[in-house]
Amino acid sequence: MNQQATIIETNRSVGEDFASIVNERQQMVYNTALGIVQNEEDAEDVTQEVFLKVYDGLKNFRGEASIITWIYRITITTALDFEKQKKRQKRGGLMQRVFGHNEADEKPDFFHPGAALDKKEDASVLFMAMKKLPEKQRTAFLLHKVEGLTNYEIAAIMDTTLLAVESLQVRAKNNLRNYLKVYYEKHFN
Amino acid sequence: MNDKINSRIDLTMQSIDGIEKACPKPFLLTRINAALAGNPSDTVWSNIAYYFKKPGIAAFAILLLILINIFVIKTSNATPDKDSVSLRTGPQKYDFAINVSVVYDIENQEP
Repeated sequence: MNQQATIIETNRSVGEDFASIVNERQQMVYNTALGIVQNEEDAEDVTQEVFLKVYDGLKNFRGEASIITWIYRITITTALDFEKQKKRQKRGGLMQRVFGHNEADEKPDFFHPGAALDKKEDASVLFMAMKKLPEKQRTAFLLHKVEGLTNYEIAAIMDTTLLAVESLQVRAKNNLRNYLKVYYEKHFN
Repeated sequence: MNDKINSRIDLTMQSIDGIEKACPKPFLLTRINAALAGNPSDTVWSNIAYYFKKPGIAAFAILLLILINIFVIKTSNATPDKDSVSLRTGPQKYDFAINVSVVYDIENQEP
């Protein structure tokens, strides 16, 4: 309902729209970006970049998709690109790829500020596991779990069918369970 | 052991159910407006720079530059211009090597 209202509101002037879009959608953009890049400062940078892209694109926005769907798409693409760029720049990335890299040796290093205190450690392990998922599975899982979107909304954002989203989520959960099994077999005490 | 691991996996999978949304730092709009003011994206030069940053365009531009260089070198070798010919056959009083050797000959004269 709130989203519908915002879509209708976009007929106002660009400047007025932009300010209201930033104020109303900053949490949505930041939260999604944080789920992908898993670093608060990086998520701030991505959020800023997303809104700069929104500002540039707003003049040509034709309303073929809802403005929220459009902003979600920009956010996901920008965050994933940011992450790829960071991985490329990471020192030793090439050496790890060449000489083999044991995924179970990794340690969780991101603690989501919205996770409940008693679940923070488990959530951190889950976020680490999410990084191993293929992009589409990860996006579908993240939008559902972290952003709380319905499969129908996710299908619109990912420009795919409802069945495809359901399939992506099932595969994401299976892959996550497999990864967590390997991780806990090594770290369980 | 397996049961313990499975129950731990279940707990981990449920750990982000109902997670609260994270908020960015305050004054995001102010920072975005400052970034917009600092980087006017609609200038001609920024558009040209953006265009040439594309790998395909950049590779084509470099290739074109190399081809132009080859073309210029080939055409200049085929027809030597008049100025360069006249320089080579010009008056010898400006020839450095001849004049220097004369000076040394004067200084090193035998008694």
